[in-house]
Amino acid sequence: MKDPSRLYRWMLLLTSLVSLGFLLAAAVRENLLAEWQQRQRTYRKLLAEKATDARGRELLRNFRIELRQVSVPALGAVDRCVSCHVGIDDPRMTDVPQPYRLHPGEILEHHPVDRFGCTICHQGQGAATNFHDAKAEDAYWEYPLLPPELTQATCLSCHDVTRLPRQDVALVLEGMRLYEEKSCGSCHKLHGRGGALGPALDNEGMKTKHQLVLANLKPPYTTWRWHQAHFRDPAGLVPGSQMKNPTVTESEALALTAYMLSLRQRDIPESYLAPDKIAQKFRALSPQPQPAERLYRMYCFACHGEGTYGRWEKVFLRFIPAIRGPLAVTATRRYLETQIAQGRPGTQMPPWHSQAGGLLPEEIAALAEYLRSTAAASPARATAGGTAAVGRGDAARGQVLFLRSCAGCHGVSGTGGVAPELAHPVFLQAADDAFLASTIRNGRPQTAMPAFQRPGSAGLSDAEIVDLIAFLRSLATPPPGPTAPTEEPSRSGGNP
Amino acid sequence: MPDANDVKPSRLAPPPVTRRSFLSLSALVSFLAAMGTALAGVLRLPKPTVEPGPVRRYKVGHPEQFPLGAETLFAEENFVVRRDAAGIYAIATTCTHLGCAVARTSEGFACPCHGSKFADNGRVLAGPAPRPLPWLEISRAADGQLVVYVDREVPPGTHFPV
Repeated sequence: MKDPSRLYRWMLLLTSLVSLGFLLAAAVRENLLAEWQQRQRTYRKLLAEKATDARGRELLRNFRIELRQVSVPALGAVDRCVSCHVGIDDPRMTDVPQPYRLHPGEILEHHPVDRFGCTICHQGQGAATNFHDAKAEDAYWEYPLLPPELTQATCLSCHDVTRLPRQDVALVLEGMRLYEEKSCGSCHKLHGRGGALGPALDNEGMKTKHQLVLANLKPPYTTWRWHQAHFRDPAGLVPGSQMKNPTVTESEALALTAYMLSLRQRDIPESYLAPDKIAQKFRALSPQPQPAERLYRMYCFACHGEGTYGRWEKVFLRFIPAIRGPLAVTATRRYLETQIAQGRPGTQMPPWHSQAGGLLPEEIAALAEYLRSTAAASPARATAGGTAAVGRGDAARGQVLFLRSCAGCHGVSGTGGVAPELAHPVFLQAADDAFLASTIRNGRPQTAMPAFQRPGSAGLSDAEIVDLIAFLRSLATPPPGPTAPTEEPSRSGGNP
Repeated sequence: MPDANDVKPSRLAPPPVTRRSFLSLSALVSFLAAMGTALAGVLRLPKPTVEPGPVRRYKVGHPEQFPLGAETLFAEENFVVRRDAAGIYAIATTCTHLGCAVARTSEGFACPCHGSKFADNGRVLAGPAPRPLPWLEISRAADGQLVVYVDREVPPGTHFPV
C-alpha cells in the first residue's frame, strides 16, 4: 500500500526548492544586478580606459563598488545620487554618457557635494538607488526631480537673485519681469504686498501637487506642468477660477513657472545662506517706496487697465471704474487716498494700506497724485457744476428720489447691486458732498452711472440732489436693531 | 515484499539508501538549505550597507595650497593639515580623553577641558589623555583635491606623498 507520508515528503521537497529558488534569485538581484552596481561596473571600465597616468591608475585602484551616500543633516538630505553619478567631480569625465559625466559649470566648486548634497538644488528622492525612484514623479513623493531648465529656481533658496550671474537665472528673472508686467500683484500677495483676491504666493515653490487641482491636467502630474498649463489657461485648469488669463506664450509661461518655483520659504541654516540673501532679507524689513507709475503697473493694472475707460467685468459681474478718467479729477485727493487705502468694501477692490495690501502711506499718496496728474479727462469738463454749494437737504424726500432713480442699481437701502454699495461708512466718510453732487450731476463716464443733470434733459434739480445727499448721509448711521452693516461680503476668491 | 528493514542497521553496515529514504533526505536537505539562505539574508539586516550619519570626509584643497612647513587649521572640522619634506599629513584636533576640541599652543596642542597637552605630532605630553592625537587618512579625489577622512586613522608618521 502507499505510504501517506510520501505525499508530505514530496510537498516539503517541492516547497523548499521553490523557496530556495526565490531566495537565490532575490540574493542575485540584490547583490549583483542592482542598477547602481551595474552603473559602477560600467564606470570602472571608463576609469580603466582613462587610467593613462599615475593618478588615473591610483583612482582606478581605489575604486570600490559600493553604495555611496551623502548625508547632510542640516538640510535634511540623504542623497545616494552619487552611487550612479560617480563621475560628477572627475574633470576627465566630459566625453562620457550620463550618468557618469562631470557636473556642468563651476557650481560644485562653491557647493561641494559632501556639504550640500544633491536634492537641495535638484529635488527628487535622494535615498533612491535607481533613476525611476529618484525622479519620483509618481505619487507619494512631495518634491520630484526638477527638469534641468527649472533647476535654477532653487538657487533663490539661498541667493539674492539679483546678485547671481544673469545668464544662470535668466528664466527666473524673465518670470519676475512678467510677474510685474502682467500685474499679478493686483490679486496676489508676495512679500506682504499685493491684493487679496488670489492666494498669497510667498511659498508657491514649496507647494506639492496634492495642493493643486489636477483633474484637468494630463499626467505626469508635477507642479511645474500644472503651473505652465495654468498660466496658459487658468479657468480651463481650475473650474470657476476667477484668475484673469495672463495671455502668455509657452516660453513666457515657463519663465513664470520658474519664478513661481523659486518662491520658497525653506528653513535653511544661516551657514548655508549666501551673505547677499541675508542682506536681502534684512532690506525687506524696511521697504523703500516705489515710484507711482511702477506701483500702478504692479498693483492696479490687472483690473483697471490703463484706467482711462471703465469696463464691465464679467467675472466680477460689475463695472470697473475708469480711475484715470474724469473721476480722478473730480474727486479730492483725500477721497482717492482713502479709497486706495481702505479699498471699496463690497466690491473686489481690496484695501491697500500697510496692514493690508502693504503699500506705504507715501506710496498711496504718490499713487493718488499719479492718478490725478495723468488723468485722461480735461479738468474743465469734469468739474463743471461740481462746485455748487450743498446745503441741508431733506432726507425723507431724498429717500423717495433714491428709490425712484438709484435703487435699481444701488439697492433699495444702498447696499449695492450691480453698482457699488453706497451705505458703506468707509465710502461715506471718504466722499465729500461736492464729490457726491458732482457724480450725481455728471454721472460716471464709461460706466452705467448716468448723468442725472444734463443740459436739455429732464433730470434732478439742484435741490433734489441736496436731498439725495442728505439721504445718503443718513445711511452712515446704522439703524438701531440689527447689528452693524456687514464689513465685507465673503469673497469668492481663494481659487488659484 | 522484501524490505530493507530486514537488515539490521549498524555503523559499519549502514542501511542501503532506498528510493523512499532518498526522497526524505533530499526534502530535508533542501528545506535546510532554504532556511539557511533565509537566515543568511536575515542576519545581514543589522549591518547597514551605508552609514546613516554624515560621512566625515572633507575636501581640503589642492596640494599647492599647502606650502612646505605651513600648517592649516580646519577649526570646524577639527583637524590640521601640514606639509613637510615627506609629504602632507593631517592630525585630528579632538582630545582623545573626552572629545573636546584642543587649542593650538606654542608647544603643540592643549585641551581646555582637563589640561591634556600634546606635542606638535600629537604625542601626549601631560594630562589624562590616554592616546596621542590620531593621524588621519588622506587621499586624492578625482579633481585633484586632497580629501581628509576624519573617521579613518593611520599610524603616526604616515605621510601622503605629493
